[in-house]
Amino acid sequence: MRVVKTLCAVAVLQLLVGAVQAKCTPHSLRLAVIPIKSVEDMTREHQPLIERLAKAAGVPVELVVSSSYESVVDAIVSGGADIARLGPASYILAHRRDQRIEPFATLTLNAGPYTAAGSHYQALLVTRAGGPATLSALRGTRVALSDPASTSGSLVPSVEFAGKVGAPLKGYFAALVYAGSHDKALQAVLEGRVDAAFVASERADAYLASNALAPTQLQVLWRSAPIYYDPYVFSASLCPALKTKLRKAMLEDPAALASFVASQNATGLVAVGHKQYAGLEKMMEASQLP
Amino acid sequence: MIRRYLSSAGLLPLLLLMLCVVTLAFLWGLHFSQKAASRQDALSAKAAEHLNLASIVGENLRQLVDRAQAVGRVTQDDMLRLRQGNLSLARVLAEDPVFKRMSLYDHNGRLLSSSHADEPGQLPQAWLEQLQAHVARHGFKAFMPATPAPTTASALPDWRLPFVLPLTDISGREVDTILVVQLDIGYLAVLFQHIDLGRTGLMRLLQDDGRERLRIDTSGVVVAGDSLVPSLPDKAEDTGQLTQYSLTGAYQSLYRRVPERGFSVVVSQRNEEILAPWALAASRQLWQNLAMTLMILASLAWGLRLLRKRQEAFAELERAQQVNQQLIGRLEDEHRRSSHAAATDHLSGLHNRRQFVEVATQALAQQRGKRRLLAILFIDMDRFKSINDSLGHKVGDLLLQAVAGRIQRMLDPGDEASRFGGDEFVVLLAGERSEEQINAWVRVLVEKLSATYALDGQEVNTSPSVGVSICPRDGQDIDTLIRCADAAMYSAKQAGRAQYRFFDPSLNLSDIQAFTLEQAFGNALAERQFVLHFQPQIRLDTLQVIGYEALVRWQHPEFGLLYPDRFIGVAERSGFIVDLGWEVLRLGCEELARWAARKQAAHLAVNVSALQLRQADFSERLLAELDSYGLEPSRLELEITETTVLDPEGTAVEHLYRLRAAGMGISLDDFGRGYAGFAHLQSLPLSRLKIDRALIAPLSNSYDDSPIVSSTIILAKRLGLEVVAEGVETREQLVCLKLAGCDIAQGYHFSRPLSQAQLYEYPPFTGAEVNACA
Repeated sequence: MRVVKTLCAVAVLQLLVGAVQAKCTPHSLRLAVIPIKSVEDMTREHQPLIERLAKAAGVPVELVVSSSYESVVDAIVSGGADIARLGPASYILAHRRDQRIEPFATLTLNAGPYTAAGSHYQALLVTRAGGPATLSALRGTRVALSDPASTSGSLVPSVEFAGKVGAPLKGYFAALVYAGSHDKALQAVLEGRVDAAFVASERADAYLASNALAPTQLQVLWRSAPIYYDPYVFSASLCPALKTKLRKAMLEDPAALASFVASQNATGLVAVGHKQYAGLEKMMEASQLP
Repeated sequence: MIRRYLSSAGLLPLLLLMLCVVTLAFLWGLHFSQKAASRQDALSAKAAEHLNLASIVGENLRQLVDRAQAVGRVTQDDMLRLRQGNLSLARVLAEDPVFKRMSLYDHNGRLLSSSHADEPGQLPQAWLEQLQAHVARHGFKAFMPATPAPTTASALPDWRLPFVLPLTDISGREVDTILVVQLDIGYLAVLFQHIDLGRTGLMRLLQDDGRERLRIDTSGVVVAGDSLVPSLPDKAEDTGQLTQYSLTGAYQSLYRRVPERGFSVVVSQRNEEILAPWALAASRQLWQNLAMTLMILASLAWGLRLLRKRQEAFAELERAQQVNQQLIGRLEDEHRRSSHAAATDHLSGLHNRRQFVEVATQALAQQRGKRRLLAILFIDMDRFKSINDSLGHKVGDLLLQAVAGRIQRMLDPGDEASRFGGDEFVVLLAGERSEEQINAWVRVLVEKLSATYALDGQEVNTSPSVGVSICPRDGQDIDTLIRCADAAMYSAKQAGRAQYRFFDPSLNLSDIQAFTLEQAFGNALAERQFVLHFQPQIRLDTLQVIGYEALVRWQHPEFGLLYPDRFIGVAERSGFIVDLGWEVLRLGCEELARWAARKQAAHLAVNVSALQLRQADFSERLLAELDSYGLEPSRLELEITETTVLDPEGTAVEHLYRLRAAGMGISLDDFGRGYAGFAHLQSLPLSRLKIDRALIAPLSNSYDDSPIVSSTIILAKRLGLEVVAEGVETREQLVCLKLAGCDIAQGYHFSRPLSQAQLYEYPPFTGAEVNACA
C-alpha cells in the first residue's frame, strides 16, 4: 500500500523538484539514519535533534529510518535525503560514489565495558558466556552480522578478521546471518540462535545497559582496530548556507542536544571531517570492497 | 483333591504369563502405533502451518511486485520524462522501505530513466531472453529474473532483489518499456523477523531454476548457509512438501511456487525440531511404558513366585500326605498282623472266640442274604480232662492241635473253625448245604475225630460230643446259635460219648442256662461270688429273734443274684455241691465271727447237703474251721434233709453225733415233705425239727387242716425236740402255730431273708428293738 502511495506521489512531486534544488530554502529537510535500533526507538531518540535542526533550518525536518544501510547510502547519494547518519564504512561507500558528501559531526562516546570514552569504537567478535571461547572453536559455526554495509557488523570484520584468520568469513564460518542491526545480532547470540556475532563495541555497551545485562554474559574473542565513530553527513545538493546553520545547530550548543546525546550513550557532538575516515577508506580500498 | 489343585496350579502360571504377554503386547503395540501417528500429526500440523506461511509470503511478494507494475504502467511516461538521476524519485524511494531503486529500460534493454545514477545502462541479455520467454508463457507479468550464481566469492552479499516489470504499449500487445524495481532485502528481513520459524526454521526465496536467492531465518538473512538437497521437484504442482537434507540433518520443506512471477517460496524446518515436543512426549510415554512394563513384570514375577511357593507348599503337603499314607498303611499292616494274632488261637491256629463271632456274623448275613442254611457245631472232646491229667499237658496240647487239624481238613471254602478255649471247638458251616448234608457232614466229623490219635508216640482214643444248631430254624443271630449248639452238645454229652445232637427246640433254655451255670461254678467259687442272706427265726412265746437261717445266693456277674433253686441242682449234678457246702460253711463262720465281735448271741443255721455229710472228715474239718474262727460249736446249727438219714454207711450220722456232742445244734429240714418217718428221728441226734412250708401254708385256710401240724408238734415235743415252722406268712398261721405249741417260726410274716447290709440295719439284730413282730 505504501508502495502504491509512494509511486503515485511521484507525479505530483516532480514539478517541485527543480525549484528546491535552486534555492537554499527547501520546503523540508530529510534526515536518514541507519537502522541502529528499532524504528520506534530511533524516532523517539532523534526527536530533540529533529526539532533543533528544523528550528535552525526554518523548515520541517523529516526522519527516515531505513531498512538497510545501503538504502541510506543510496538516499544520501541520490539526493533522497539531505542529512544522514551513516556508519563509517557506509560513509566511505557514499563518499566514493559522490565526493561531495561531507561529514560534519560525530558523537563522542561514553566509556563502557567495551568501549573507551571518545570518538572511537571497535568491532567485536562476541560469544555468549559459556559459548566457544577461542577463535578456532568458532570455526564452522554460525555468526551474526548486522548489515552488509555496516562497518563493525560486516565490513571491518570481513577485512580485518578475515585477514587475521586468513580466510573469508564465508569460508571461516558455516553461515553468516545478517541480523539487520547490532541489537538483533546481540540478541541472536544471547539467545543462542547464532554462536557468535560481530558487533560494534559501543552498541554492545548500549545493549547491555538497556537490557540490564552484566558484561560477563558476553565474551570478546576479537577486537578490531579503533574506528572513528558514525558521521553525520550532508548530501551534495545541500546549499552551503544551510550546511552552516545545521552544523552550528548540532555542534555549538551541547546543552541543547543533551538529551539526544545521552540517548546515544555519548557525551557530546564534535566536528568531524573526511580525514578522520581516511584510514578506513584506505583499508577498504586495499581489500577491494565495493 | 490335591491332584486337581496341582494341575490347576500348573495352568495358572501359564495363564498369568499369557495375560502379561498380551497386556505387554497391547501396551507396546499401542505405544508404537500412537507414536507413529502422533509423529505424523506433528509433521502434518507443521507442514500445514509452513505451507500457509509460504503461500502468504509468496502472495505478498507477488502483490508487491504487481502493484509496482500497475503503478509503473500508469506512470511510465512520467518516468521517461524524469530521466536519469531524478531527484524527486530518489526522495520518494528513500522514504519507501520496500523498493530501493527503480529503472526504466526500453524494450531493447537500454536505460531510459533511473532513480539512481549508478544503474547499468543496458539490461543483461539473459534478462531480456528470460523476459521474452516469460511473456510468451505467462503474458505481460512481472517476474524475478534468474541470475547466475556469483562466480567470485564476493565479500559482501547483494542486498537488492531486482524484479523485471514488462510495461506494454497502448495496445497492450507489445512490450514497450521495462521497469526494473529492486527490493530492499533488509525490508524483507525486518518483515519476517517476528515470524517464529523456530531455531532451525528457514524461509528461502528460490528463482525459477531453483537457485537460492534469499534465505531468512529468525535471526536474519543467512548467507552461505548449508545448501539443502534435493531441489524442488520439476514443475509438478504449485504447492508441495518434500524432505530435504543438509549436513546437519533432514528438513521438512513446504514450498509455494509462483511460476508466473518467477520465484518460489520454501519454508523448511528441521524434522528434529518439529518433532522435539513429540519426541519429549514420546520419551515420556516410553518411560511410562517401561515403568508399567517393569511393574507388570514385577507383578508377574511376584505372582509366579507366590504360585510356586503355593505349589511347593502343596507338593510338600502331598509328600506329607504320602508319608502319612505309608505310615497309615504300615499301621494298618501292623494292626492286621496284631489283630490276626489277637484273632487267632495260637495253639490250634484256628480263630479264637472273638474273631469267630465276627467272622460268623458276616457269614450269617451272607448266608441269610442268599437264603442258605448256616450250621454252628459245638464240639467238646470227651474225657479230655482225664487225658490231660493222665498223659500230661503236652499230649493234651498235641491232641487239641490234632483235632484242630482234622477239623480244618474237612472244611470247605466259606466254612470257619475256631477254638473257644479248653477242648471246645466251634465250627461254622456255610455253603449250600441241606440239613441232610449237614447231618452227613457232622457224622463224618464225629467218625474222624473219634479215630485214634498218635501223639508223641502214644495212641490216644477220644471222641467228640457235637451239638448242632441251624439258622434260620434255631436262631437268627450267632450268639443264640452258639448257645443252642452248646445246649445240643450238652444233650449229646448226656446221651453218651461220640454222639451228636441237633438242637431240639423243646430243650429248655433253662437247661442251657443250668449248663452255663455249671460251666461257671468253679470260677464262681474261686472268685467268691456266693453270698449269704439271713432269715430271722423267732421264738414265739417271747417273740425274740433267737437265730438266723443262712441262705446261699450266687451273685452272678451276668445273671445277677441267683437263688439256690437255680444252681443247687447244677451243683449237685456237677459235683460242686460239696465245695459249695464248704463255701457256705466258711461264709457262715466268717459271719458268726463278725457277730461275735458285735456281741450278737443269735445262732446261725446252715444247710448241709447229704453228699457233704458223707465225707469222711466232715466233722473234724468243720470243728477245726469253727476253732480257727474262735467260735463255739453251739453258735452253729446244721440243717440236714431227710435224705441224709438214708445214708447206708452211717458216716453222716456219726458226724452228726460227734457234732451234737460238741454242742452244735442239728435241725431236720423240710419235715413232712419226704418219706422220712418218725422211726428215723430217734436214730438222729437232732435238736430241732423244721416243719416244711407245704404243711404251714394251708393253715390259714382251714382251722381243720391243722391236725397234722399240731400232731407233728406234739410228737416232736415228745421226742424232746423244738419245733420250727417255715414259711410263716400270715397272722392266722402264726396264731395257729402258737396254739399248736410251736416254739419257733420263720417266714415273710416276720421278715424276708436279709442281705448282710440289711441285716446290720435290722432292728432286732442291732438290739434297738426287742419285739420282732412289732
